[in-house]
Amino acid sequence: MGCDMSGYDKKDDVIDVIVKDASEEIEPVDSWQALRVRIDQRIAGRDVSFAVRQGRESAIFWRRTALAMAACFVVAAAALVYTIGFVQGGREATVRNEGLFSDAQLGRLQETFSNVRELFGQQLPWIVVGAGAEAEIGIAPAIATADRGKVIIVRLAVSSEKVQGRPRYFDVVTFSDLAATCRLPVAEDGSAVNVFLKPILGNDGTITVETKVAVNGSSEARSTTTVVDDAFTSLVRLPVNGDWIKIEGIGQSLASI
Amino acid sequence: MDESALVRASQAGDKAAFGRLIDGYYKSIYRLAYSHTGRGEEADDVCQETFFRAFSNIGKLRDGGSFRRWLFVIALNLLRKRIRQLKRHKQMVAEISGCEGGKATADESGRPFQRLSGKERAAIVHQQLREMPEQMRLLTILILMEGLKQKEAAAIVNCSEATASRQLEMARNLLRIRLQKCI
Repeated sequence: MGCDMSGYDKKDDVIDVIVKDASEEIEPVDSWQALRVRIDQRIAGRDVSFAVRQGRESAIFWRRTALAMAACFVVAAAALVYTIGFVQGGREATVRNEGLFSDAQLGRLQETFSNVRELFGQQLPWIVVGAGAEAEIGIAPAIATADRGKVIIVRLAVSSEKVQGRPRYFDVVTFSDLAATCRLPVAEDGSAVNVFLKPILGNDGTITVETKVAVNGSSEARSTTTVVDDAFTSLVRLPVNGDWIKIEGIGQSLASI
Repeated sequence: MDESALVRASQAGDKAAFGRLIDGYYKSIYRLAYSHTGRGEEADDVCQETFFRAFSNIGKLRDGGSFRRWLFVIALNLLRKRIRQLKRHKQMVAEISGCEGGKATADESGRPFQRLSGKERAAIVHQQLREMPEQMRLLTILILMEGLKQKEAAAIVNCSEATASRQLEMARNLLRIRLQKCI
């Protein structure tokens, strides 16, 4: 800074230098270069704000975690009710329409998401509810854009090509054009995949899902696919621990809540 | 290549050209956002979103020569929206007033201003800036920190050049009085 403070009260240029010097002390938490990379990623459509900062800005992490934990009480209770209903519904559905939405399931999800949304006020939450009672909740980056008037549910069916059996089902509820980033278990050995899922509800009612799935950074698959509500559409397929995991999806818009 | 040419190239889909525009302004936008909110994570988000929106809408910019002004207006609109959201959450006083490095007081250790570290002095200045009315603060940031001409800063903040001049003078006086206590 090095400005001469004598006579400071008489000269505007001293104040100007002080202010200018103060501005030069401003820099991002990590580095200018890292911010530059994040800008490129944002422009490329990669929603990294929250996930990347989560590790390096503990204050944000803990504040949002506290909110998320509070919300989890709501989600956990609702998820339990929903899961029971889902499992029961699933048993009935094994013969026909395997894994498709029932009105009761949609109603419960809608109610759950409505509660979460109310809890988070102006923020933009998303939820993921698994058939095994797993529930995850997240909040979009502070200034993420999304269509608050459109809520979409995407049901993911995760299956192994090596191990035959019923797929694992996960329901993702989020706003149109808002990405949910979650971690889904894919096998009994604890293997899991990181999923980025952004559904967009078009004016014609079609739902397009942008999906990116990664396994510990070793393999990655992505697609942009239009899904329907009465038949599963393949989203991605990728190798996981010597097996191939397939993720399919169906989607439906929920009434505005 | 001058800025207008970079804008035209960006409008034609040249991402490298837009990258050079980013290079020219991303630090300014971050500093503006940080000085306005006092929060690094908000500044980071606003900075990213500003360039995302600029990239998405650059085709609508008719006068390439006004890119800087246009970019700052995008950033300011995002900042105002964000501040409104924070106010609604009643976090304004608790979080925005407190800068990340802790609230800087005039001279906690008894050291003269010029003996404080650069970061300590900066924290004091930013604290004083955040206590100014919004228009005065923005004009001070744009003119004194980013080196914009009064006319251009006035256009960004949407006031007359005369108002900008008066506000800047008041800001200098305010800083002089407040920083006097630190010296």
